[in-house]
Amino acid sequence: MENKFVYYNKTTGKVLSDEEAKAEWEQASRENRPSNMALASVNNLVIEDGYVKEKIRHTVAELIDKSKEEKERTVQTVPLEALIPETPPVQSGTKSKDDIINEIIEEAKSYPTPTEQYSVDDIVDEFSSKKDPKYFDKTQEFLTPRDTMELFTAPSATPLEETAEDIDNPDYALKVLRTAQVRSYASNYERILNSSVSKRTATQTEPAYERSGKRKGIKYGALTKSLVAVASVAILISAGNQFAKGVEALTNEMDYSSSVNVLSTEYNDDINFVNKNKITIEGSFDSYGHPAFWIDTQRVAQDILDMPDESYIGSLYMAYSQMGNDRANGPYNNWDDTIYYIGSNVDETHPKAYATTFGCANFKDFLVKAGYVDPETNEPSVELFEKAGRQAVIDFATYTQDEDPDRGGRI
Amino acid sequence: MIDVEVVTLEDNKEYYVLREVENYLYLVNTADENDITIRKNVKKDGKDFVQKLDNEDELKKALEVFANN
Repeated sequence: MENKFVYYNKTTGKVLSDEEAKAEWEQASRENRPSNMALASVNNLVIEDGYVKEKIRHTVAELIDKSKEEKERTVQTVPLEALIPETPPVQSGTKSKDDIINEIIEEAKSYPTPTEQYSVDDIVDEFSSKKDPKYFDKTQEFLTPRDTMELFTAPSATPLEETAEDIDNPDYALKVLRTAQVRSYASNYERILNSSVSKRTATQTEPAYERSGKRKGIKYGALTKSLVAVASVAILISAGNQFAKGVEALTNEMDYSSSVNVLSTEYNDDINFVNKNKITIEGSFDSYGHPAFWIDTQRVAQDILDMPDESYIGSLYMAYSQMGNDRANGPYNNWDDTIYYIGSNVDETHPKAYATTFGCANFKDFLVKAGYVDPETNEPSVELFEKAGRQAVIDFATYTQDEDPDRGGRI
Repeated sequence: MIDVEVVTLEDNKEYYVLREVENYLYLVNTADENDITIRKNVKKDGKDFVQKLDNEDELKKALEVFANN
């Protein structure tokens, strides 16, 4: 099973070369808009004559089987040259480029696998300093947060593998980087909170420090890690806030030809990524199927729940309006993107909610069936639902793989 | 090499300005890449100053601004 990623134009489906992808990224940056391309595994695409014709949806059973196949196959070693710019960032003196590459490979192999504790310092510091021009633009030093998440949510048909040989694989390296990124959320948020927010009392004056305009030179790439840290926190906070807006819009919407999918059930041990909330929520804004928010805190097996074909096997996904979701196609055609996407797509000009109903008459009915009931009044509680949704985002972000690698989750 | 604005905050620590969006500044300590802080720009007597955020709600707003730009 080939483990290769390609960029393709989201509008035309054209598979892009590295040069074309970079050009689109640069153009999008100049125009301050999301790039019009997606990154996907070739395993999830049907490509004909250089165009993506179809996206492949995999059932959970297929993914589990593929995971088993992956473990049995021989991993092809891919040189880490793709992660290293033509000119090594560190002038090594008498060392040759091959010496440096070998050192990087040996050092990367020493990093713990994702089931062990590791810090973002280890991973980000290593891989972000050896930039692959395909992913990092030298003129700006770092991708925008939107493009960062777009890149870092590259989908895969297989759960995260945990072999030392995979460290040689740039794709796996990026997965590790992304895993570290989302795991850094919790600690970074607290750190930023403590350093940024005033603790003064009402009678105290908060000191202010003059901006002198002083500037300092810094090596290209030296600020990458800090930007990653802020971006990881910022995007998840934004997602949580948008979810709350979505809830508000749903509760304000009186015309419930719309309602909310509710899937509340137990999950057997064969399903990866089990979240304590055990609720799948699906909603959409505007009649075009413009995706609004989906909180799927568990992966739902199609054959277990007997869901219609148009339902998706979910992951934690909140459609993100500025991530360039395809208005015309909704979440089902963005199957690859939905696996790891985080964000929200609450379009305030289209507050009308629309969704497919599975056993719920309306939103209040959903709240009751899902257990979001105020224990004192026994009335449906939007606050509990909202709290659960926010927590679901955080749970996803800080989710760590199960100790048993066979049950490891996907991020 | 690139030139980045630096500001001096409490205890005379210098911080690089990672990004500035609207009136929020995203800063990192020049001596510690893990020391990240978010402040806001305020104007006094025609000059620009950097100040802490009022509360956690403002922090979340600043983070959302970062994410959306």
